[in-house]
Amino acid sequence: MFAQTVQATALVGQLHHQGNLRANLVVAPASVLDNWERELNLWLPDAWVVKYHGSQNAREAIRDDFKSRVDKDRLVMITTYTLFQSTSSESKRERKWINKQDWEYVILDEGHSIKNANSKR
Amino acid sequence: MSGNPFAGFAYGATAAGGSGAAAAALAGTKKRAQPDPPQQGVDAGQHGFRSVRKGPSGAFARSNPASPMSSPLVDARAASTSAATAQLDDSPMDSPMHLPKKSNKEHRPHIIISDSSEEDEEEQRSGGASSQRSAFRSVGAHPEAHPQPAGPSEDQQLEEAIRRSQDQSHDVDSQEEENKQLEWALDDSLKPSQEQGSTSYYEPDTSRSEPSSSAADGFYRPRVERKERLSQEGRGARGFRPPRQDKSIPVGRRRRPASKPMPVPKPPRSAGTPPLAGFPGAAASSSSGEVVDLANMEDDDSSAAARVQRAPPDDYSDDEDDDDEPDPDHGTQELLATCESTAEGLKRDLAKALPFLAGGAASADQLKQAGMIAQPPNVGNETLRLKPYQLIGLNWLNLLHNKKINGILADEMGLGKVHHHPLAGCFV
Repeated sequence: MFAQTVQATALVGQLHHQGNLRANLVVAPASVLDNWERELNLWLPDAWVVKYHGSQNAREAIRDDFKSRVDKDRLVMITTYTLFQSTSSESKRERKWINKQDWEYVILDEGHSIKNANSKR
Repeated sequence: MSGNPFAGFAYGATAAGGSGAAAAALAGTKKRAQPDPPQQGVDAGQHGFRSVRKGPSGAFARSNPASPMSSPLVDARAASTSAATAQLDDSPMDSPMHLPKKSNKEHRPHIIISDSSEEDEEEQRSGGASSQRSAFRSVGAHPEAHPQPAGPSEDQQLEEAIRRSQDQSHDVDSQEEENKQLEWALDDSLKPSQEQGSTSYYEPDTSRSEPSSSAADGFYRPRVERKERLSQEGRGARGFRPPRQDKSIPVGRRRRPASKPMPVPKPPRSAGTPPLAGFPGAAASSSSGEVVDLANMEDDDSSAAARVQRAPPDDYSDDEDDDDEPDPDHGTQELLATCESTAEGLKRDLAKALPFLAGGAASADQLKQAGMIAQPPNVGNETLRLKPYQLIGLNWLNLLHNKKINGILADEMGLGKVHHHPLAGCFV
């Protein structure tokens, strides 16, 4: 198994070890969200792994939690591509919020599914 | 590491677009660089002018030269792009200079016939059967305008030719009527030159109506020879434009206003600072003991940057002709060259550590000497170790991070998960 997931995870751990103080974002298909969460928790037990997924209330709770947390550098947030496809005002607001955050790395799993800023997917 | 398939994959889209555009540009410049063979030049010129005369409107015939392509001689150059055709058609001065080379002695008188009234009468008598002759006459009209220093410019001449073709379609009966129409059609800027020279295109000079004298032949030949010489030197048709001496005469509407200077083509960006500003110094970023100083990569990086500086290809060296439009290929080529050299440098850096990484027998010290990560820190427990080939991928990502380059970590699609090629191209 080539395990790009593990390698990317190891890079996140390496950078955090080097003193990186910024959060990381993982965008992955919804089907592998759980896989990402499992690997991250296995390889980076210190990391604060958050799945930005689910109901609107759950996501809002995550955002509030994020605001109040100090150790943002430990955050590895996992979200899906669907967040960037939806055109609803709510997801537009969420995208703006995600844009505003200071990410160290944005890891795009299954990156061949990204095309350009205008395409749906 | 065999030839890396992902390097191609990563910027394949850019490469496809860029090379396509570059090929088009190359075709254009190549056409321009080598002076046309006289035979083909003559043919294209003839047909171009015939299309000017015959077309429904001059402008259409000029911008859409369908007829040059129909000639068998020109068909031999069917591969020429539309840009090249436009170049050919855009330079009506280019064609008459090749005419004598055709060694077509029986056509020669037609080239230098200057009396249009004679021709018109002749044409009416022959009932339009002398379309080829008329084409030649219109060609021959162009060297005629040259002896005057303040004569009509190339654009004005073209307008005149277009107007003539329109007049021709109207089937003007008498010379007087034609002259009247032409006076209507002429704008004021053209009139002074018309009044100055008796050899003007529109003024039928009765004094020169004698049949194509040898004196006229001798008079025009030096100019033709000069054009030939210039064409052999590779100078385009625009080099033939006579200097405008009387600046008070306003020129045609397609002329650029004097207040607006010609845009100077920007020098390639790589001529100044290397495109990767943070590239050479970005190597040493070890804040912990894990990553050793990567300063030994400095020489490679500088050589890569030097290669990028040399990158812009020679195909663009003779691009001064079309300074009107910015060249979009410059940036693409530059970016491609940057990506290639960067990927090469990264591959070389990683290849240094590959024996240690892939062999599996690497000690942490050896890896540190090569500036590589032996094992990621912060892993959950001691039993979790990255496999050697996974270490390659991790070090690849770390290398990209140190160089401040975004990258792709990928495996070969469709070949299972057991491939040991970590990587990738780069986005700069």
